[in-house]
Amino acid sequence: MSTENDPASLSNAGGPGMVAGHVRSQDELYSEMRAREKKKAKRMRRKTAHDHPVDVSINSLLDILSVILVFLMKSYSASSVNIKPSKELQIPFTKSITAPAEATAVTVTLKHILVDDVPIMDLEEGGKVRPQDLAEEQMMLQPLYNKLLDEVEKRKKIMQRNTSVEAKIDMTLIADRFVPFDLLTRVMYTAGQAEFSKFDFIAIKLEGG
Amino acid sequence: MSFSPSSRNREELGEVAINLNPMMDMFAVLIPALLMLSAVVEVAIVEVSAPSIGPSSEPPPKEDKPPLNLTVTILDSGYMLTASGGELSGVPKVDANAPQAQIPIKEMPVVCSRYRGTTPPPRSRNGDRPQCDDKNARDAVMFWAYDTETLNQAILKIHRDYPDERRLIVAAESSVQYESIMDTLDATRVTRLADGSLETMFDQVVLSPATNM
Repeated sequence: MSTENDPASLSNAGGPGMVAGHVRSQDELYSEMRAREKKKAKRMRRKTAHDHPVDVSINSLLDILSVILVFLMKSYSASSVNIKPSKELQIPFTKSITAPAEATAVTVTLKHILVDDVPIMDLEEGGKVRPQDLAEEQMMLQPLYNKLLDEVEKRKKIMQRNTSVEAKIDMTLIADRFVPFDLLTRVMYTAGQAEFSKFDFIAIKLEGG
Repeated sequence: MSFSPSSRNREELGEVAINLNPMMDMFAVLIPALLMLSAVVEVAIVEVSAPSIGPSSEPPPKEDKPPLNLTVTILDSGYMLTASGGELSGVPKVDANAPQAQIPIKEMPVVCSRYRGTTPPPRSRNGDRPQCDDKNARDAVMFWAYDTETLNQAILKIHRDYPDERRLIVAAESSVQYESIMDTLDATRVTRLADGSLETMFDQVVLSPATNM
């Protein structure tokens, strides 16, 4: 039985071995056949590679990423206060080394007052309080007081339900470096009226203390 | 007739390839997110008590010695030190009719790195000076500034005279900015001694309402 790849069958008269009256030698036919097979094999390899992509081992890469992820998550959870300095909120520096603790965060800029990142009050140019927001001999900031009362209520409820929680109603004050003392004392007075007694002033730690 | 042993045990388990692509996708999202959220600056706190206005509802505690009630008032012109419960050695007395700073602001070289885009406090006195920027951030530029070093030494002397006192009242003019208050708190709370150790001085700070002088 002769096949296409059999050189004997190719050399038969009138077959593919006869080109323009020239009979190819056995060697020529064999080399031509080998070249054709090589091409075919290459085509097959390419096709297979396309169907099944080569598996690159990503285990070591995953190990590295897992370590980075754990490290980042740990460092993220370690800082209870997250401050995003901006043009409106430039925090002053301090030589103190005491780390901040979990507390209600009040942010004071020259334009707004925020409680736990929620804007509560808008201020006029230069950190001046709008007259309609003032109460109690011009010292209390009414919208802030209402919000802080809610916060205190919330904390008290938590403390009632979970006795393991330390009974502290503290405040973290994050203020812009340009905030006038006048506004600062008003914020503190208002917080004092809402039962906050201890304030933690946040500042950027100076290197070397 | 004996049966041939089971071929089940001899079958080799083929390597199971787990598709890790979803996990990689999750990591690719989580890591940049956490990097963005992680604190770029390290912060610290200074503990302060609330200002009290009006007479206290509680009677004052009976003590053998009256409290010193050391008060540092931050004025635009400098620091004023007063005490209702004792004499302050080395600090000139304040004239009640014309109160003025015993530790006045002075013109001194200030390193600009902390004050980029602005000037050091008191800013009302430095308004005519060129602002600090990225170009001169490492330079020491002449500005009017609060003399925190002298305040620190004066407070240390008072602390040595009254070692049991830890309470300090900080008052300020209404226009004084928060940055000046933090600098004052730093200068009055702790001092670094010659041997490099830190000594705590007046670390119980009470903020007094703004005064206008």
